[in-house]
This record gives sequence, structure tokens and C-alpha cells, in this order.
Amino acid sequence: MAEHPAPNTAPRTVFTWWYRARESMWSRIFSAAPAVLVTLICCGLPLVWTAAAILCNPGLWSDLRLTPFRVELLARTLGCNILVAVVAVVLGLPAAFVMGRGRGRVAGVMWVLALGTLTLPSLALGYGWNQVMRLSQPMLSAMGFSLSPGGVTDTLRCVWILASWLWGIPACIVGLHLRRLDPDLQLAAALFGAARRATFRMLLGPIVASLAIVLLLATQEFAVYEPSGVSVMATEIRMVFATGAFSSLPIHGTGVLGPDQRERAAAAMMTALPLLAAIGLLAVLAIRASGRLALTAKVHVGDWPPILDAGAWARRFAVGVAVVCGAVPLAALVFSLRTIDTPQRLWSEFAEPLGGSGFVFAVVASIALAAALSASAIRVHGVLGLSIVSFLLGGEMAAIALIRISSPPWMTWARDSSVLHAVACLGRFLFVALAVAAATWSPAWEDLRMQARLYGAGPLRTAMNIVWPLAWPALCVGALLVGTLSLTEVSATGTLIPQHPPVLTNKLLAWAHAARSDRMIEGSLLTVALVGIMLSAILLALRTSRRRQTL
Amino acid sequence: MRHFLYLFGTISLVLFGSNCEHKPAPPTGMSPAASGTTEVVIYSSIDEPDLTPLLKRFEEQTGIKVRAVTDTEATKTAVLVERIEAEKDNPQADVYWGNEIFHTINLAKRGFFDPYRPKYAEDVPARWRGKDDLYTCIGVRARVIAFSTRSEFKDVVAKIHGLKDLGDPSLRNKIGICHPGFGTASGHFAAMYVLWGEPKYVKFMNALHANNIKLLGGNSAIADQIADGNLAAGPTDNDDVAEGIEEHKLIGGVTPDQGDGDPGTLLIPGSAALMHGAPHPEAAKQLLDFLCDAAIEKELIDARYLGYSVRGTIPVKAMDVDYVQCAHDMRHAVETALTILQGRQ
Repeated sequence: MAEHPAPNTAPRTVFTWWYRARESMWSRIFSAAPAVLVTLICCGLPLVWTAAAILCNPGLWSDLRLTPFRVELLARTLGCNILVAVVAVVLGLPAAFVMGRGRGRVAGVMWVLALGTLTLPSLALGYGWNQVMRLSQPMLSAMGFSLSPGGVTDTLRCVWILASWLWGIPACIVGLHLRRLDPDLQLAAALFGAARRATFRMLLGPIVASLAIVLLLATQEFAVYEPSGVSVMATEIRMVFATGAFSSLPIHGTGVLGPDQRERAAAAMMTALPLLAAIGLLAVLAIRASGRLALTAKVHVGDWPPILDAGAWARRFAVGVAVVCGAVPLAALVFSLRTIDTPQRLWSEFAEPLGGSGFVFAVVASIALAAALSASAIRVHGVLGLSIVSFLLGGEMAAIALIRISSPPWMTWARDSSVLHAVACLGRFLFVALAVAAATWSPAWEDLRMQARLYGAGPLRTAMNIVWPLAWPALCVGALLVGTLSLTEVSATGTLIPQHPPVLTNKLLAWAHAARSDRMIEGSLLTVALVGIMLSAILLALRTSRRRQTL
Repeated sequence: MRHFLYLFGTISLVLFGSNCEHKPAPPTGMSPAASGTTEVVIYSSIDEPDLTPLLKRFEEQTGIKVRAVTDTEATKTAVLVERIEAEKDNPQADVYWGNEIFHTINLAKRGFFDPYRPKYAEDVPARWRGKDDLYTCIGVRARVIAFSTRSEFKDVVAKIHGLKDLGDPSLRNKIGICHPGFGTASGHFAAMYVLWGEPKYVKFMNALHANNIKLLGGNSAIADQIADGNLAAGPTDNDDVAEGIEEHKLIGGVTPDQGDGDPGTLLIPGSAALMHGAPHPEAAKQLLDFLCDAAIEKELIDARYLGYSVRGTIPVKAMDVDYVQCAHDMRHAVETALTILQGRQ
């Protein structure tokens, strides 16, 4: 158990006045405001617009019916992405052991690599793996593998691309839980020769949660499947929205546009509801399972005995996974580069979109951090649920809702800047930061908060002196993850097309189509470099912070 | 933690600052246009690498700043149309330049455009202009059948001369087409439906289904899969094949149905229009004048983005089809095709 700070050693900061008013209603309101406001604006508004679109069109409710084709599509979508989740967890678990119970540089490097792989745009990673497939195609053909679009091998290729992108999620989540695991329990289990079994039981909750998160993320990455002709539910939703086909919308003689954008959006939502319901059910099951299956009731923040260190096999496997999932596609990109532009040419081509992507990253990560800190200080029921529902809505639907919401002339400022894009990204990924914040309200943290309360600390003081000093790395990682996901977000970005400033994702999408592979490769590598620089700066800050604490 | 937050804040401030636009005041006595602060907003689905140089040249020539909102292959044209529709009460665009005509027709029918005949478009035939000059066509692309030049497909692709040859059983599992719900493929399916009538259209779709045709997410995906040898052939746009050939990929293209008695191929004109309620109408007209110039069209043809000019004789046999009717029947054609091709019966 951690040592708690003495109750009268509150640091003298600009927030001192908050201490004095810690029990007041205003203190609670101010503390909760960031999380509530961000969630309501970024997640609530698009959802309200969408719900209104559905409720105002009762004629479309018949589209809720599941035809045999849509059942097949739903099964294929879930089946493929469950496979993605399983493969990602299998890849991520050894890394999680190294990250959670490893020492020295290997463990540190694994944290960087796990987060680094997640920050790769799926578009760039997919392009890299396509280059790998292209280079190895003669060998694959000789071995009898056919990459015929939509075939088994091709579908497995899509599964592998997504899993090799998302393995960092189980690695980070399980790794973090392992760090916080009580070593006494593990030691006791080891004495009875059941260390592995007991550890697995204790980590079952995080593993199930990882499976659910990967499944949710993979379900929305239709851009990986569609070029191969693997239709998923997102394809159907997009088609209904674009054409009104296979909906009960009447054809008024206006051709492909159908009667009205709002009605088509409602029809697309009706099409999406079965998938959303299935995902929602899975998410609820995962959350309940993670709560019930987590056997550890305490948060451990200290060292662990060497006997619990990650074994050599785990280190080798983890390093192998990191190399294969990160280095191989990047190396394939570099190998496929035919000409290298001068720095001046690269700067003129990429300066603006790189700045735009960095700007959005900074805005989104900052706001997500504020929301996460707020949500870990004051428990606001419903924000996490609302943000998850917003994520489930999908990027394209959220973007269309935001376009319509910002249509009035007095909202031009939002349309003209990257504000809408940032709002869309927060609407999609804020749940990650809020979920991390919600973890600080789990039973494992209850002892800490309870003891602080016994010393007379209010909620805000408990957060500032107890929760934030312990949980800030996780809260920051959550916020950074939201920021990095905004760098790689495709569906909302492709719909909103932010131009002031432009972002790199749209450039990559344009080049991928134009087969300007050199530009695509350069853009992908620069995105990776941008993220790498940001991660390095954060790691440097973490190290400095730790050194100061040690001193 | 504080140090981390300080660093985080510093990075954020730098990134915020780097994106604040500094707009210098125009020199005294100069009009906004002359000082280059007047702007025009164009929504365009023309491929960004082909579009950007043209717009930069327009900026240099006129001093008018162009803000281009472009789309991507994954959301071709449709996303811009959605954006225009979402903004109907508060138009942000001045000019629309689509890479096809069917969405343009629908937008024109719904009152999104104002009539305008560009200065340099007097020589564009009436066929390639909208009713009441609501839009003007800029160049034409053609649907072609892309094929693999790999030796293993030599025999099967040699048989392909027209669309109906794709129903040949020897091509089973070896052909693909863009998903009919997206891109220019929607228009192509609609054109087949209008030209052949429902019974012939359904028969052809059944033949394609029997051949297990793959529905991919984009015309460029068709060209890529053929170039990689995963497919033998499939209909796509001429620019996708041209790009593959330019990159020395193993791909070729044949313009389908060019023989006597054949219906010809579908031509897909690009189309530009002045937006109704455009915030900068005068600048928009200047940009339209610039874009509809024959020299620009020629430049895009030389860059292999466009296939042919709308001004001269088009050297391929074209489908004699009513584009307005195609736009009207598109949804039914898409539903009929997908019902058969995806086995939705």
C-alpha cells in the first residue's frame, strides 16, 4: 500500500483557494465542469442531432428489420473483428508482461514501442503491409497462397494489419494493471505453483476489457477492409447514407440524393442500430466481466520481488512482436521509396499539413487531459457512457451531424477552423481518457480515497494529493492516446476535410488513391516521425519528473 | 507531474501559435483583390495532385487566394455533395468542380447552382452544358476495362472487347468492379440500366454474379488489384489505368464496346458550377473562367487525368445515354445490381 501524504502538507499553488472552498458546491461544479462540458459538446450534441433525425422520421423505423444479408454482414463484421481482437491480445500479452513486470531498458523500450505502434496511422501501416505483401508476393504464390480480393488469405491480411496496429492496447492496459498488481498475492500463488494461473485470473478483467476496446476500434476501421471487397456493416451504412438504397426512403424523382440528407442520415442510423446494439451489448458484458473478474482489490504502487520478473521467453516474444509489427511495415515503406526529395521540397510539401495535424493533436490531447483530470476528481455519472455511445456512432455520422449543427452563419468560425475536426475527434475518442479516469473510481482505489476522507480531505484535495500524483501517468497516457488517435482518424477527417489548417490524413488519402507512392511513403514516415518526436518529449518529461521526485 | 504539464502546455502553445494566421493589412490605396486578400472557395473532387498546381497558377495570375476543399478516394464526390447539402442555408463554397456529372445534375435540379456561362466556354457544345448554363463540363473521362498484362492471364483477357465479355465463364473469380454504391461506378451501372433496359441489365448482373465478380471499394482498388495480379480484369476509369501504366505496373486498358453495333463506352465529364448564394460571386466567376479555358483542359489531358476534350471530336464510340435519366434511375440501378451481385434475394 502506498504511503499517503500528510493531510496538512498541501502545496502552495495557484489552486490554493480551491482548497479553502473544497467542500463548497462551486468547487464541485468547477471541478466537474471540464469533463461535463467537453462530453456534452463533443459527444452529446451529435448524438442529440442524430436522435432527433431518427425520432422525426418514424416512417424509417421499418428499416430496423434485419434482412438475411444484413445478418450475414453483421456476423462477418463481428467475426473478423473478434479475430482481430484475439490476435491483438495474443500479440500484446507477452509485451504486457515485460511492460508490467520487466526491468531495465527493455521494459522502457516496450512501453515506447507499444504506444508508438498505436500512433501509426492505420492508413500508413496498411500501406506498409501492402508493400510487404507486394515484395513477398512471388514467395506467397509459390507457397500456394492467393491474395484474391475478399478471399480467406486476403481477409486474414486485413485482420493481421488491424491486429498488428492495435496490439499496443492490450499491452498497455494489461501492463498497467500488472504494474499495479499486489505482488504478495502473486508470491503466495507462486508458493503453491500456481503463479501463472493466478496472475492470469487477476488479469482476466483487463484482458476482457482489452478485447472489447480492440473490437470496438477495429469495427470502425472499414477503410482496411473495403478496398479488398470485404464488405462490412460500415460499407452498408455508408451506402445507405450516400444513396438511400435499401432503405424505405421514397424516391421523389431526385435520383441518387434521395429526399433529404437528414432522412438519409436517419436511414443510415437505422441500418447501423443492430451493429451498435451488438457492440453495446459486448461493451456492457466486457465492463461487467472486468469488474467481476478482477480479483485484486488493492492498488500496489511499489516494487516487486525479482522472482516475479518477466521471463526471458516473454522478453523475446515481446521484442519480436514489436519488431515485426512496427519495423517490418516501416522498412517496407523505406524500401519502396524510389526517390528521396530534398529537405526544401519536403518542407514545402508537408509543412502545412504537419502543422495542422500537430495543432489538432495539441488541442485534442489538452482538452482530453483536462476532462480526464476533472473526471478523476469528481465522479460524474454518465459522461463515460455518453462518450462511449458517441464513439459507437462512428466518425462519418458524427461528422455529418457536426456539419449540420455548425450550418448557421454564426457558427462559420467553427467551420472555418479546425474546431469541428477537434470536436469530432474528441467525440470519437474521449471515452479513452474518461475510461482511464473512471478506473480511478474502481474498488481498487477505494481504500486510498477512503483513507484520505478519514483525514478530512474533500474530493478535490483527495484528487490533487492522492489520485493525481498516482494516476497522472495513466491519465496522461489516456489523453495522449486520444491525441494520437486524432492524428490517425480517417472517417470523420475524410468527411470534414479540415482546411484551416489542413491535416496530413487527407493528404495521405489523396496520395494513396493517386498511386503517388513516394509522396504517400514520405507522408507516412513524416507522420511517424512527428508522433515519435512528441512521444520522445513526453518520455523526457516523465524521466525528468521522476528524477526530481527521487531527489 | 508539474514539469510534465509545463512541457505539455509549452508544446500546445507552440503548436497553437504556429497555426495562428498573420494576415497583413493591404497596402494603402489597393483594392482587396489587388492586394491578394480576396478569396474564393472551391469544393472539388478532382485529384488533389492535379488540382493544386492549377489553383496556385490562378492565385498568381489574379491575386485571389483560393481555398480548396478536396475529397479522397474513400469518399469520392459524395462527401462534398453532403457538405454542400448540409450548408444549404449558409453556403460556404463559391465554385463546385466535380469529377463526374451525375451528382452535379442532382445538385442543379435541387437549386444549388446559379446560371453562369464562363467566358472561355463559348466553344463548349450544348451537350456538355447544363440546362440554363447551370454547369459547364471540363474534359471527359471514359470507363475502360483494365486488364492484367501478366502472362498467366494472356488468354483470358484477349477475349475481352466489351462489358458483356466479363460474363464469360473463363473469367470466373478473376474480375472485379467498384462497389455500385460509390463513385463513378454508380453512374456506370445507371447508364447500363438506362441503355439496356431492366431485363438485359438483370441478365448481365446475373452473369457477373455467376462469375463471382468482386465488389471493391474504389476504382483505384480495381486497378491496384489487377496490377498486383490478384484479378485479371475489371471496369474502371481511364485515369486509374493511365496512372498504373505511368508507374510501370503490369496493367493495360481497353475501351469497351467499340465495334459495329456495339453501344460504346460511358463518358464521364467533369463539371464545374457557380454555387447559389456564393459568398464571393465575382471571384468565383473569375475562377470558373480560368478553369473552363481550353488550355486547362488540355493540361489535364496531357497529365492523363482526363481522357478527352469536350470541345473536339471524341475519338471513342460513346454510349448514347441521357445523363439526366441516369441520375434519376441511379438508386434503382444500384439496388437492382446489389440485390443480384450480393445475393440479397
